[in-house]
Parts: sequence; C-alpha cells; structure tokens
Amino acid sequence: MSKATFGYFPGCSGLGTSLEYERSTRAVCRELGLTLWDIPDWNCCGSTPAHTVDPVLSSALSARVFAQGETAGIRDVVTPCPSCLSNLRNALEHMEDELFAARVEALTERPLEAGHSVKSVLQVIVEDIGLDKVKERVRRPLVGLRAVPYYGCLMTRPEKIMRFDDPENPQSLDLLLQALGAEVLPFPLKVDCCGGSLGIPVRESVPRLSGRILELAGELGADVIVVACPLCQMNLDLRQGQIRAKGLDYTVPVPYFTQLMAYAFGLGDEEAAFKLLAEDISPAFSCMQRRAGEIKAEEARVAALAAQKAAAKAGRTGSGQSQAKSAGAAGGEA
Amino acid sequence: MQPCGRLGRNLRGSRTAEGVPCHRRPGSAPVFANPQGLSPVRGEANAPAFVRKCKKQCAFKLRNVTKRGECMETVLLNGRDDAFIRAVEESSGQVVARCYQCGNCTAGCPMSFAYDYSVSQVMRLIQAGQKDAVLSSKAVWLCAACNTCSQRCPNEINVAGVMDACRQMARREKKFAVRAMRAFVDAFLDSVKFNGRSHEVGIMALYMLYTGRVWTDVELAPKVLPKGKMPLLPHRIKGRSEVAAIIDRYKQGLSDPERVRARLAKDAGAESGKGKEAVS
Ligand code: SF4
Ligand code: SF4
Repeated sequence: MSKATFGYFPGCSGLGTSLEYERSTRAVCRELGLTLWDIPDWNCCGSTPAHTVDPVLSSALSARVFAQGETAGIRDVVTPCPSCLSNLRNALEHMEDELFAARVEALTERPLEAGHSVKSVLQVIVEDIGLDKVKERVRRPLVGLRAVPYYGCLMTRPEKIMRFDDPENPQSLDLLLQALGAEVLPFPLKVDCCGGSLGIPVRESVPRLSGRILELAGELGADVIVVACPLCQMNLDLRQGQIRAKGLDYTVPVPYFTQLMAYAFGLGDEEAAFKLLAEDISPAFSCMQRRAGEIKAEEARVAALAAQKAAAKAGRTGSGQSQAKSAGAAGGEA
Repeated sequence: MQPCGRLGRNLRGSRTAEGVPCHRRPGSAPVFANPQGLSPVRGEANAPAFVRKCKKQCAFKLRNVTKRGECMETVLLNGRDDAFIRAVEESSGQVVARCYQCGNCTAGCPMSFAYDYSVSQVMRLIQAGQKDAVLSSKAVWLCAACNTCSQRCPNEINVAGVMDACRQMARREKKFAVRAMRAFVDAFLDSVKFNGRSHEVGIMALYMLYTGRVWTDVELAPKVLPKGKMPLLPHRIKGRSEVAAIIDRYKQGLSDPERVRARLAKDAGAESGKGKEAVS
C-alpha cells in the first residue's frame, strides 16, 4: 500500500442523484483506512457538455479543481465518478502540451504546478489497497448473490489515457465482487454504452441501449447489476420504469459496488443506503439468502458424505482383517 | 470441383450469371433459389424481391439502396475542401487518411441506429473533404462520446476525438442538426456558470425552456424528490464568479490558439530581448 490519504472530488452527482454512492464510498474508504480530504470549494468538471464545446474549456474547468486542490496541498485526487475522472485525466494529459496548457491558463488565470494525478475509487481499492485487505474486512459475505458487473464505457477507455484494467474485458470489479463472496456471472455487455446523457435530448436512446443491458442481465438470471458510474446507474435504475413501459420483462436492482461493500463489511443501513435506489434491492437479498441456504445444505451434505467415507476407510484400515466383516457391514449401510 | 448444374451462388458466395451453373457440390441444396434467376436485374418488372426501389423518385429506379430505402449518395470528389481536412486533423490530432474503411467503428457504435451517416461514413466524408455533409450531419451531434470506436480502430485513430472535433466545428459554424442536443449542452453550461456546479433541476428547467419540451422526464420526479436525490436548490460554490469568468473568457475567445500562440511568441521575444539587454 502506497498512500492512504487522497484528495476527494465527489462530483456534482454525489450531492444529488448518486447520494447513495457518495455515502457508501466514504464509509467504505473509512473502513479500509483511507483518508479522504475534500477539495475545498470544488467546481463542476463540465462533464460531457463542456468537451462537446471545446476540450480547452473542459480542461480549464478541471484545472480549477486541481488548483483548488493545490491550495490545500492536495496532489493525488480520487473521484468515484468515471465521467469526472475522464475529464480530469484528459485535462492532465492534454496539458502536457505547452500550447494547450497556455490556452487553459488564459482561461483560468491560475498557473498549475506539476505532479497532479487522478484515479477512480475503484482503482484505488483494487490497486492501492488490494483485494486481500478487502477480503479481511468482510463480515457478511455475499454468498449466493448472483451479480453481473457493469463498468460503463468511460472507466477503462480510451486505453492510453485511462491506463486501468483491460479496455474490452475488464476484471477489477469481477474480482472485487468475488472477494466479497458473490457469484459473478460473465457479462458480455460490461463495457457497452448505456446511452449516457443522451437520454434527455434523444429519448429513444436510453430504452434501447440500457434496455439491452437490463434484458441480458435478466436473461442470465442475475440478481443485481453492479455499477460504478452515476450516469449508468441513473439510466439503468431510475429509468428502468420507462424501459419496462417499452416492453422490458425484468426488474433488476442496480446498486453501486460500494453499497455492496458496505453491506458485506457489516455497516449499517445509513452507510449502505439501499433505500435510495429506485428499484428495491430486497428481492435480490432474499434470493441470495435462499441460495446461501441451499449452498450451505449442499456443503453440509458433501461434508457428511466425505466424513462417512473417511470413517469407513479408517474402520477398514485401522481394524485390520479380523474385523473386515463389521467394516463390510458399515460399507453396506453407507 | 464438379458443377452441380443448378443456378445459385458459387462457393465464394458471388452470384452466378443466368445459365451459368454454380460450383457447389453436386447434391447439396441451393443456398439461394430464385425463380427469376440471378442475373443482374435491369428492368423493374424482373426485379426479384431483394432489390428495393429507391423511395426518392430519382433518375435511377433500381440500384443499390440503403437500409432506409434511399439511393446511395454520390459524392463529387472534385469538391474537396482541403482546408477542412487540415482543420479536422489539427484540432483532433489524428490523421484521417489512415482510415481504410474497415467499418469496425461503425460495427461497435451504440448510436448507429440514430445516425444519418455512420461513423465510418463520416470518416470517409472527411477524407473526401465534404465539409457541408459532415458538419450538417446528425451523427456528429448524436455521438455519445463512448470511445468504443477509438478503442477498436485497427489503425489507432481516435475516432471519437475526430467526431468531437467535427462537433466543435459544427458549433462554431452554427450548424445544429440536432437542436435538442445544443439546448442540453447550453442548459448544462449555464447551470455551471450560475452555480459553479451542475444542478439537475435547474438544467432540466433551462432545457425545457430552450426546447419547449415541457414535460421531459417529469414522471421520474416522484422517484427522486422524496429521497432527497434531487435537491431543488443548487449547491452554490464560493468561487462561482471564478467559474463564470472561465466560461466568459472562453466566449470572448481568449483561448483561441492563434491569440495564445501570438502571446507566447511575444513573451518569448520580450524575454530574449531582456536577456540581450542584460548581456550588453
Ligand atoms: S475503425 Fe478506423 S480504419 Fe476502420 S473504418 Fe473506422 S476509422 Fe476507419
Ligand atoms: S464515440 Fe460516438 S461515434 Fe464512437 S462509438 Fe461511441 S457513439 Fe459511436
């Protein structure tokens, strides 16, 4: 483990539509011994609209965030939101170019020092803290929960800029969920687009794109789709009713990975904040408990069988030939 | 290989002309049995079902038609706008000539269903310098910036970056093929400018104002409002005037590359001048 203190950039959605992500992220980081320092008076990174207008404008908004961090001595920033991450990271990459940096500075009028970095919360948990440490903290393993991970398009792409995991078949969230005890189903649409912010201007896009993701998850028999992006979560969860009205047959709860971590760590309802989801998650948990019961019964059966066999074997070898008769009788019983 | 004596497709999948037998194994069923035969069809009356008629009543009654039933467009290559190609290349930092039209980008593009030109077609139009067609296309506005195309391009072209560059250019030239998209972007940036942060309720209100689509997504409100997930009042930051100044300076064109380059050159000149003075 390298560093345990990071500057924290919650992103605008953390104050509104992804309140549950925000709360559970803070709780989970505290549990894992990560200290998060909020960047003082942070501003919006501009999201997709800003770089639609101009990358310089987008980078200037990001540069102010870094400059605010500097005033508090923060160099390493983490953010839960992949869209913010993509903007902040892109800004840092583009500003390596001198002309670009000068153009950004013409807008912010605040020169930036070197040495800034930005990572996602998922990356910090998987790479800096490590899954072993996560495993140690699990109090309530998610045994029996069938989950599909959904990364969204921005977390790992473009490959050269994000430099995290595999761009087409990422594994970090899969492994994290396995560490929590869940059963992770292979999910071919894990990096497909959910429609992003196009849901508002182009109404048919989200039912179509997010609908595909929900449908496949339903067909695979997943209890939950686990996400890491506020925008994906909003499209898959909040708009699920709209999508069902267009013919989707399934109801799939869509929690953030940090919520499941908070649950597995045995934290309270306040931290896990499942109540804030639009689709109720309790059916998924009752499925999990039923399946966990079945798994336990099966394990007990297998263990009993093994014990019986071992006993029979021990009886046969230990008592020698003289008692072969009784051993044979025991074998017959088994 | 023995010809089977039947009409149909040959093993390579291309159609055989009328009267010419295909080269499939004798005895196997024809893949493509068409009572009209498979000769190239000229007259309307002979047209087999798979040839559709162009919906636009153009001079060519029967020819290749797109999925939407329109004639494929003809592009006049002598109308190539080289300055446009250079501008796209400079602002995206990509070499569009490297695209060899494999179509990988289009195959993976989630928004293709809504595009008028597919991504690979946009790439081709840029190569052909068709400025008008590109900048007034819906595609550049509908792109979700998901980066799937950039990831899958075998020539490592950042295709999403090229789309972004075209969209920025369309904006500068005031070509808004998808008005709602522009309204959304404006609403978002205005919200950021007023508050320093984006505020969903405010963005939706502005968006409805700009587009006149008054009931957009209001059915979602009962799901979020009681949970406190959509605060009605914005979270304003102290430095919001600073953020507004960034956006204003942008609108005044202070970040134009020419202007910044000129300033940098001037600064460098002044510094070297100072250096000389110090030496003398
Ligand atoms: S994937 Fe690349 S090379 Fe292939 S058509 Fe698209 S831009 Fe051209
Ligand atoms: S970035 Fe745009 S063009 Fe490329 S695949 Fe995504 S939506 Fe399509």
